[in-house]
Amino acid sequence: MNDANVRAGRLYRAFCAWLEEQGWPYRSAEEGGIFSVRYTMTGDDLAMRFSFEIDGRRETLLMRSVLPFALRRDLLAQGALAVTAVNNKLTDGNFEVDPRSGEISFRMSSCFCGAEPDLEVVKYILAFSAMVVDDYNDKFLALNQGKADLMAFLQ
Amino acid sequence: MQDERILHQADEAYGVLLGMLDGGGWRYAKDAPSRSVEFAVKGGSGPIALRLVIEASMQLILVYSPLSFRFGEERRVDGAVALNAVNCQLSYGSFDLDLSTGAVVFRLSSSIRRSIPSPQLYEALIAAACATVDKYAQQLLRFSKGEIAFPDLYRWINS
Repeated sequence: MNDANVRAGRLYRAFCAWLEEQGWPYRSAEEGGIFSVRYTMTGDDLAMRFSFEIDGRRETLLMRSVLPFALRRDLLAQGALAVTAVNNKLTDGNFEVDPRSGEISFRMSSCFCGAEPDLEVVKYILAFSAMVVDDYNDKFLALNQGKADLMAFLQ
Repeated sequence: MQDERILHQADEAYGVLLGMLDGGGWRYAKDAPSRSVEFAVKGGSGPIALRLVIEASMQLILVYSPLSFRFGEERRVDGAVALNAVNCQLSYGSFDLDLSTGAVVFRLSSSIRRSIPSPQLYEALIAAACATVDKYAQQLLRFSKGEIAFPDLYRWINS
């Protein structure tokens, strides 16, 4: 196992230990130098699913949160514009809608090339993504249900 | 005290960035008050503009690469769909479209919480940004000029 994989493994174990301390249920796995952790949080309204990958090969952290509904096909263009408008307000991370499936996800990443990855970075990604997803998931759902229009995202 | 520590860390991170650029003989413009630098890298299909910022309050390295063209108003809806399709292919960073101007910027970030970034980290971020911009900019430019239609661009993105 190379040094980056060792560092990735240390972060993975610290992350799992921290989740256990918090009493948050999670699932974890390790395959081919990629350590993954999945867990679900309940926000103000919708459940939020988070998937972390700590990649020892690329020395990166990757977090993806897929919203629990798919955008209607007839709203794809509006959804793409809404996601685009939201991304312009974000300093970190981005939403993306997959035009093939209508799936909307939020993604963040960080790199730990040549350094020891710190649990604080994971905590930051977790807190920031939970805040952003919680802020916008109900707005995307309202768009999908025809209860909101694009203006809600452009203001 | 916390703020002082964070500002000191941001200054150190900026120092490592300048040292990496100076050591590599890069030509760049710097703006010390905003802890940012700007320079261009030769890409496969033209120069790639880069702006790196150490954002102290969020403890982030931010890499911005503005593309050399804008989407005209008639292409912004399709452009937004296309950039979403591109972003779905990426693991790191995203293309942002300003809906009011049509400007497209690639944006990539990395957290520097509790650590001083290594020169290798900056090199990795610059390489990742350049590789991504190089891969997509040419086809997006052709779409912006009307040289390829949206269905062809969309097929290319998903191919």
